[in-house]
Amino acid sequence: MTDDRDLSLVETLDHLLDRGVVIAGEAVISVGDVDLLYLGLNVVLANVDSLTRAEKRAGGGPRRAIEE
Amino acid sequence: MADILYVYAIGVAGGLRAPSVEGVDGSSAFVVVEQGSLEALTSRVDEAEFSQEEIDRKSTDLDWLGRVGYRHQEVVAALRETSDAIPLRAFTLFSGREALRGYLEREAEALGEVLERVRGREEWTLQIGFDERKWSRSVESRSPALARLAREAEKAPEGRAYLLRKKMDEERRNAAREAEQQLVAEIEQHLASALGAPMVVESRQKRSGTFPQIDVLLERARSPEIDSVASDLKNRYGAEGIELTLTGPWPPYTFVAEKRP
Repeated sequence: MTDDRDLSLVETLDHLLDRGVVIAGEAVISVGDVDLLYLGLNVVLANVDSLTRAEKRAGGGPRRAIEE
Repeated sequence: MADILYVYAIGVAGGLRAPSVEGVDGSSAFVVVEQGSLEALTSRVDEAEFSQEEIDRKSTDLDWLGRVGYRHQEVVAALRETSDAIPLRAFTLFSGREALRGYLEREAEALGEVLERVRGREEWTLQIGFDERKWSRSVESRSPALARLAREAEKAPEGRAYLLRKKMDEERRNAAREAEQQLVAEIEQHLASALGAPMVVESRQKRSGTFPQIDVLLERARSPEIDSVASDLKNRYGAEGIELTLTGPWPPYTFVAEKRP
């Protein structure tokens, strides 16, 4: 359990933007004791009523990487 | 400017109480859309702000992404204090009431099954991290092939020892991959026998390079158990350089997204 239940931005986004729900772009952020987490977000809208449109646009699954 | 619906969660009709926190639009003006036995909690948002193009454009703006993410999470977490709603991922959008009603009607049976599956349960995530130096020593001790090469290199004359060391570098990569898979399987096994709860294992491959993690769907009343199981695992694997982090309780985002077992 996180000590103070203060769920970090990284953890929150990791749950919220996982698997096919995420965006395109890159960013370097520093959160808590995770020094430089390099998020290669490849977000595709979970646009449930227009999945076909989203699939056409997506052209690949979510992509993430951590660089130390 | 047209409005579209940003959907947070789906629950049993009449069961969702609008929470007193801010929605993704910064207001507490939630809209409940009902269809048959189900309903969804939504916010009316500006189509221009939440279009695919605009979201793509703002995807690197972590202030914006974080604001939407935290608000989404707060709404869903507050909602689940009073009901067993199905939590949806961030950026689930419908073009309007009719589209959302159509979805609730078409998917009523499947959504009912998901509701049943997550009823009274929460998600916990065990992240498996590595201390590079300690873990690489551990990989050597877990790999008979590497240990054999190391012994041979020690005894071999310099020329051959050099070649053997090069071979070891190659072998080390394979061994590291295998050791990690073995470790994740061991931890999964331990969690399964201690908790007997549904799990989703997200390997490094599945997470496209990030550390692996295991998600567990646990009944609310059993939350203290996973804390103690995680402590056991930390004691067991700490010396090998394994850094385990347990986060939760989360709304069961992962288990809602999983296909039926």
